[in-house]
Amino acid sequence: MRAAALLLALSAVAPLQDDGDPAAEARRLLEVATEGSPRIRSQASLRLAAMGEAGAAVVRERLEAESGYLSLGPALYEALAAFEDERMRVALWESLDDVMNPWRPAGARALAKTAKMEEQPRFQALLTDRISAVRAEAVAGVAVGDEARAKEALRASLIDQNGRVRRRAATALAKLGEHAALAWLIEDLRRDDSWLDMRLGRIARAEAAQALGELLGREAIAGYSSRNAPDSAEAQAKIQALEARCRELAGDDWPVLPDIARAPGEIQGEVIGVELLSCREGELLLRWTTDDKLVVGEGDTDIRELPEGSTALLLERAQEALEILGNTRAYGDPGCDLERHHFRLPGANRAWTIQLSKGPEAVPDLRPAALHPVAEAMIQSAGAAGLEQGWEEQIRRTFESLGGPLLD
Amino acid sequence: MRPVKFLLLLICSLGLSVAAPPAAPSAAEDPVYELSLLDLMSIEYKPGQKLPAWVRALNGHKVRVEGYMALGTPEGLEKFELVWDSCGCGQSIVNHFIEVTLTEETTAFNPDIIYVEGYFDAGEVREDGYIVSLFRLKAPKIQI
Repeated sequence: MRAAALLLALSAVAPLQDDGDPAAEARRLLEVATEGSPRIRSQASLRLAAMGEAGAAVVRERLEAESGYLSLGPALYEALAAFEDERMRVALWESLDDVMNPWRPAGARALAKTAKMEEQPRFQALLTDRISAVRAEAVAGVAVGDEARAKEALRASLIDQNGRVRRRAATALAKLGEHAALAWLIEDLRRDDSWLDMRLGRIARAEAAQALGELLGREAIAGYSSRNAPDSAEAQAKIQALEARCRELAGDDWPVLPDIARAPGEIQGEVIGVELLSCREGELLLRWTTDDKLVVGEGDTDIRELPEGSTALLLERAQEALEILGNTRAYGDPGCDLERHHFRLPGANRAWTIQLSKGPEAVPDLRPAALHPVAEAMIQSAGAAGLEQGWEEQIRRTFESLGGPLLD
Repeated sequence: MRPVKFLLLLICSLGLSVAAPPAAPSAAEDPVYELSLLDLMSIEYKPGQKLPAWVRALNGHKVRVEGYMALGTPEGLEKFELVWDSCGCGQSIVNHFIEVTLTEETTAFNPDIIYVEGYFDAGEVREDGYIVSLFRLKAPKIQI
């Protein structure tokens, strides 16, 4: 049925070629879906899915090899859920168990879009995944199952470390009638925090406004702009009106928010930061302040004291690295794996950012040699912050999964 | 700043077809409409299908939209993909980006959220039977 609908939609745009030989057409589409321009791979993938058995056959052939899904590329991998062949769905679920899978967020998204009631426990398990994008996508899958179980699971996600996961959980809960969760979205409208120069508060405001528009109707957020600072008179009036409406819906259930969901305050003196976003090892966000504090994560709830001089030493290492690196700021190819260094050197208004990115393949020398002493110093500094056992090792592993092994 | 819905209501109240919006007034008078990439991404888009009226109503009008420069955008280009998620994992889905053409500068590395303001154009552009862009914007420069 799904295949027939897809075929109908797509045939209007580009009639299938090689009408007489579906196998040849399937092979042609497979090539476009895996090797074509990134802008058309998803379309070719869906056309392949719409072909039915002929399309499924060429994909199954690829999947037969060990970790064969990796040869599909991200677009066709995500389109596996659009095939009528149940084996594709099974393969997609199995691939989520593979810790070497670089596309787990895309896999979770594809499955959640077509979630089945009986899959709820599997989606629920993904709510504690180490990758926030997987957790965020799993929310929609959990919401499809048993309502009581969904509510219980999603309430736990309201204290997730990642803001987007909390917003998705709050939105899903509100859709299930738990209007107290709207408080999370209203609070996000008040966020104006930054992570060095990354304006996370502005992103949170835009996403919260979009979710509220979806829940309350577009007219409810008319006149609200996430670009306006939340303390501006215009924004304050709009937020108050929205909050009044949400409180009315929630009745007596308006909650006191946990610390993690509060709009974070400004972190004074942040001068060094590193974002480590690994599709395999998870995510770490670390910032150092001039008064020797380590700020872990997005907000201001996890701040650790460091030995005196820790940040000054890092700044020294950063300065040495920048002298060697010159104006080059981006290394590698676009992909899910990202190691991004932010250095706000004395006298600079904005941080200087150096970005290493890559796809699923390991790139052993992605990190320029000049950055190795900085990374090593960050690991040692953060490792000394008195966090749980294995923390230093986890940071090292994440660094190495991104920019490659650190120099001895 | 005016919401998109207002534009749609205005056009409808003037008795004009949303498929044929009024001729754009001179540049000095052009109003700027807020457009959200999140709203564009939430469209249940299928190739060959008409875009929603509120999107078509923006054709030829000046909009302001924020997002990220797609990861891996080289420096010195006139065109780039404006996306909402800074990590697209190598995926490029046609209703998830706006193809921005810069008229007064070229791309420079910027991992932070940015915004662009310029004339919007929505509709399928096809090459070899595939849609290569759905939303386009011509802007003088990138703003932060």
